[in-house]
Amino acid sequence: MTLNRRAISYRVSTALAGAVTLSVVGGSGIALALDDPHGDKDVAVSVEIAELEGPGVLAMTVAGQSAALTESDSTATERQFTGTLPTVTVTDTRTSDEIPAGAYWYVLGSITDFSGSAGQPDIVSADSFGWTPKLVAGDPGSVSAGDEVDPGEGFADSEMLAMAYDSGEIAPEGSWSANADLKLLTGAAVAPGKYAATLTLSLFE
Amino acid sequence: MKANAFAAVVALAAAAFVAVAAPATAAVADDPVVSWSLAPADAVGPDGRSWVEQKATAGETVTEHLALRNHGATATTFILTAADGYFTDTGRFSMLQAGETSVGAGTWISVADDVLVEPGATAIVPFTVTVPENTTPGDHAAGIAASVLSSGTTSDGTLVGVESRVGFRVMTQVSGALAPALAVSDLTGEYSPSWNLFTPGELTIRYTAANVGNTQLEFGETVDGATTQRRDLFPGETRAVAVEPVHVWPLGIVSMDVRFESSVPTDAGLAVAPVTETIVFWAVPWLHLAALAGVTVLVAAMLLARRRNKTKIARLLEEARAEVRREREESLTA
Repeated sequence: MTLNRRAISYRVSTALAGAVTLSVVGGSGIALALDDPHGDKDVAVSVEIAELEGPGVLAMTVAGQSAALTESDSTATERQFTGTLPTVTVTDTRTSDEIPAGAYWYVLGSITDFSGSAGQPDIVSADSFGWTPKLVAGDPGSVSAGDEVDPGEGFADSEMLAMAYDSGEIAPEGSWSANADLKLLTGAAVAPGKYAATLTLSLFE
Repeated sequence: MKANAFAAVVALAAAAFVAVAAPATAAVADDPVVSWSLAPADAVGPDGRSWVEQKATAGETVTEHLALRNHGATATTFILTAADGYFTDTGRFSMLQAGETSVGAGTWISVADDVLVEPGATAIVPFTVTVPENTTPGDHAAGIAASVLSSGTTSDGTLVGVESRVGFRVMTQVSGALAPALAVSDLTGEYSPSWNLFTPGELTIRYTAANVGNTQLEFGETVDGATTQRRDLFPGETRAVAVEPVHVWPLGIVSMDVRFESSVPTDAGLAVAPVTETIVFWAVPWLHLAALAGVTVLVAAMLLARRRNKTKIARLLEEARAEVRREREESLTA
């Protein structure tokens, strides 16, 4: 008795997340106050924020869906390509009692091999790919970036990008961001051409 | 308030002025910032669960719901996937990637391929878990996720598409006899002596734990009075464990007891008998033996030197006496 995939109807309730009341005094928009925190300090801004409706959420925000690797610092024997992972932000709006005791969230990364667009041999990621995760926003005492994996170290399935020590304890902090320096290291004899791989980031708790 | 609206609102709501997510700097294309959350739900909305834990019988179909909320500023199509769940080498739950084929509980889940969600909206999407007939009793792990696919832009050079997904686990316990069991193999102890005579050496114990039962297992080991809890294993999974080194004095052949305990997180009433294994290893006090040898050589040298001195003094005395005798004889004859 499986559901017909095409016959499913969705209930989409709109504007749930927008249930925030912002009343701004002083003629200046809240967006202005946020976008330019170092602006005119004389503008009086008072903000009244209502409770978000419903249970809080553990959300992920990604700043992009791809990263280009460009050649840099290649030597006579090795070719090196580097890039930066788009910043990943995890936001937790749950209250501590909405989080199971001992639960902790984490973002894992896995990567496919780099496949050539013109039939040239694949570049095996486990032999050639590495990354250096970095926490770019948030308290390093509550969230830690994953370990560096050098090319050739065997970038395995599900390497750690960032991990919370305890979701419930750190939830009041609210938001954390991480990215990673990406590196692809190949032999000088690698077939020239375009290559593409997919890096999967997974947020679980 | 555009792309970072959600993060900004959250930062304010938490009364903590943390740095808001930096905008895309590394993206190749002009990818929009996408922000979303996924949680178990009932037909009305999110119900506060962090993941799904359910009991079912073989042949049964259970209907569940997921709540997918778009916190971003643009309408976004999210890909919905279900796949087998597993614990990584470091014990974190994950589910198979897009290119991998599920063979277990991941195949039991039916869900729409994708769903378009307007900014600020929450989609409640039903999904079913159909347990096949003849499924063995016990815990079966799967995960369900909503992901944003790579935009697929191509550029010169090398491109890494980033598929981001937010998921939760869907744990199904199929009714029947539950038989938790932990098997320990490759238990070894490696002893590294200290370079200081007055501190003990370190023993590193390693072993491989295998979940050979049909339930999820949490396990840990006790060595020298210290218990360490390890992260869970699903049925059929194994994990190599290296125990934090313990201090051991080198006393020749040493034995150490390792006690393994496990329990079933999905059924606290199930008892699993602990197992104790003993490892025997050589902890030869080479440094102490060497030190002893050194002391022996030193003492012998001192004794020898003293004996030599004695002979020398005796000889000198004898010479002095002979001299005296000679002088006396000379004075008598004079």
